[in-house]
Amino acid sequence: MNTYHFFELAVVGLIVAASTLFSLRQTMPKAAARVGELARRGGMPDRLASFFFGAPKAADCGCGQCSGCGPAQSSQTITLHRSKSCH
Amino acid sequence: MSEMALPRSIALVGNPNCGKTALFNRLTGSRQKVANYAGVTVERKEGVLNLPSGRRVRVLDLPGAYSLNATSPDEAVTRDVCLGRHPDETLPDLLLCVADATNLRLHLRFVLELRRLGRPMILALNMADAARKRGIRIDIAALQTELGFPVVETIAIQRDGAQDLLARLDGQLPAVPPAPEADLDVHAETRRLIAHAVTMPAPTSPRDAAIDRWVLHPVVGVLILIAVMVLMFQAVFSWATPFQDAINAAVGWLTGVVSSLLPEGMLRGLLTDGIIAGVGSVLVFLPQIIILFFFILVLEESGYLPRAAFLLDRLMTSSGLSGRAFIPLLSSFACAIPGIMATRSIPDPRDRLLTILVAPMMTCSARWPVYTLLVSAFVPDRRIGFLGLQGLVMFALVIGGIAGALAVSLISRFLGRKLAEHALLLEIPAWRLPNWRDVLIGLRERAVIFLRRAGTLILALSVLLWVLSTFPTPPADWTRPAIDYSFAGRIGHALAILFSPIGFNWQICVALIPGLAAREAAVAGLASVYAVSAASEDATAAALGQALSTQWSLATAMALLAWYIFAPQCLATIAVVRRESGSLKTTILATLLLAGMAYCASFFAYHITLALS
Repeated sequence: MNTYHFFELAVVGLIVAASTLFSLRQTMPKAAARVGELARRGGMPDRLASFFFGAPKAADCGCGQCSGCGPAQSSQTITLHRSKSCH
Repeated sequence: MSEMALPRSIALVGNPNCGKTALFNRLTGSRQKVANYAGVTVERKEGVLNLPSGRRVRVLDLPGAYSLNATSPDEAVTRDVCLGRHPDETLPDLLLCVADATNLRLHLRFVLELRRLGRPMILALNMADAARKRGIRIDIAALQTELGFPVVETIAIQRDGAQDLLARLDGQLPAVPPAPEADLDVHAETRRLIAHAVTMPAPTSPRDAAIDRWVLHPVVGVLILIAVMVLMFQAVFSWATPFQDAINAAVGWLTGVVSSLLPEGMLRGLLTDGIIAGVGSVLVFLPQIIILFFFILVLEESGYLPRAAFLLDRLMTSSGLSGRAFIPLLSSFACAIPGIMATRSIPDPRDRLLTILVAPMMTCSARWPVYTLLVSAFVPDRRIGFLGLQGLVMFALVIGGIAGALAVSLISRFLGRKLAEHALLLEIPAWRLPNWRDVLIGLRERAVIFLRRAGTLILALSVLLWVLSTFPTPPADWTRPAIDYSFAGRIGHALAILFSPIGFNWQICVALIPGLAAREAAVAGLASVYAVSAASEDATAAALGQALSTQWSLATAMALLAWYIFAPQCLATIAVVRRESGSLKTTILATLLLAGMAYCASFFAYHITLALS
């Protein structure tokens, strides 16, 4: 294995690791946060854990209006009430 | 409150479609979405206004409301903020009431209702230029005296259209208006104020009335609507071709450069087969997305869309959907997520739930790359009369989604869901020439969103898919194609057992996985899988289309198109359904419903095409 192969391996490894982290944070922010928590417990400094596993600024949902899947806006959930039967 | 106090927070409040968001953008320099119909803003938005004196004021843009007696969740946000009941907001120091100067008969009622709150207020008569053009004359001084708080004219779409307002805001808080009589009839008071301070030549513009005579005609209007839609899809295909060819050529050139610079190996494979093939295959659809949104934005700005809602109301209500579902469903053509959020303007919880269930069936922009790839590869570029066949097929796919949504709501109606009593009360706005600044801002935003997605999530997914398609490398005595030994090959072959009845090959099964994160990533996935499998270095979208047309049957392509009409393949959409419905059961139901419909539609599309061919 020559120097170029080492270089190639390192670059590809970095790109793949960055892509994995990015995809995890964007598509599964809660799972990423859990991994971050585990990393903190394992001794990773807070700043590093937030950098790698923190919530994304905005997830790439495509609309630009939803704050992504990250910090939620105040949701207005639906409450259905069973209709009362008339006697 | 002291008269000497300076406002630190301002809330923009008023009827829907009076230009609150346009004014918010003007004051804060934001770029929030504006359109010429009611219900665009369903959540409060915050910005900062830098006043000429250097003071900074927090500005809240609230959803439009007709009254403080809220009938829908978005109106409830406005009510709660104005009354100081919102859990995450303090009571604003100043209510900046925005009213459409061309329609004071309606808008003054809410202003009078707000006056009862006893808060410092300023009234901004927006669209003052449009009012002047229509010959409406407003005696500002008289109105100000009668109301008891400052009144200013604004033109939110003009650069210096809010100067008077800024000067007012830069001063001290206005005095709290005198409390009106407790039993004041706001309707009678509005009529009195208009008689006293407003001179109006005609309640509606004669030009608008003449246009509406045709556009809102039950037969001619529907024909015009169909013609507009067909024109839009034709243009998307025919106008985009030269730009797409240029992007294809650029992607091909880049692949060639990388291949010539790097020796054969892992890095070259990642760059050409993973990143350039994956991202390039999605980037090539940028011109079509821009053309599509150009039409949508022009229609939004002109005021045509609420008229289309009016035309389609009978069809929607007869199939069980609320007329108010039109705007959320329309928003879903950009992306299902704002569409689902826009359902907050629907007062009835059952109507809202049904709209949330069917919103993902509208053809969101992320489906366009998939549709366009398959239509370009399998539908001949032929003309039928003056219409292109490819454009007509795209139109049919969009109609397919709408028909699916109507069918689901019809079935839910037959299953016993009672129609709500909330009929569609729609405010038809004045016709307006599109504001090209807003159109350009909208187009720029769409392009940025698309490019950002391609450069981040699609890129990351393409890299991961390349890894899955490349490793593990085949054994020494390999006989089958190398990709068959990879993780992607194995996953694809395993999934193919489930999907082979609907005609999907293993490559499609692999592409469906990144498509879960973003629908258009399926195109990038196909591009990566075929690029890794192919001996050729040509990784352009055109080459992908050619590969598909030679390796897939027409039935498989039709099945995949049918799949994408209904497929619930977007994790972000599912997450928003969960958040807005607040119910895991509903989320699972929505996902299973869409997946079931997608599977059935693909099954029939595949077998019918097989039988016919």
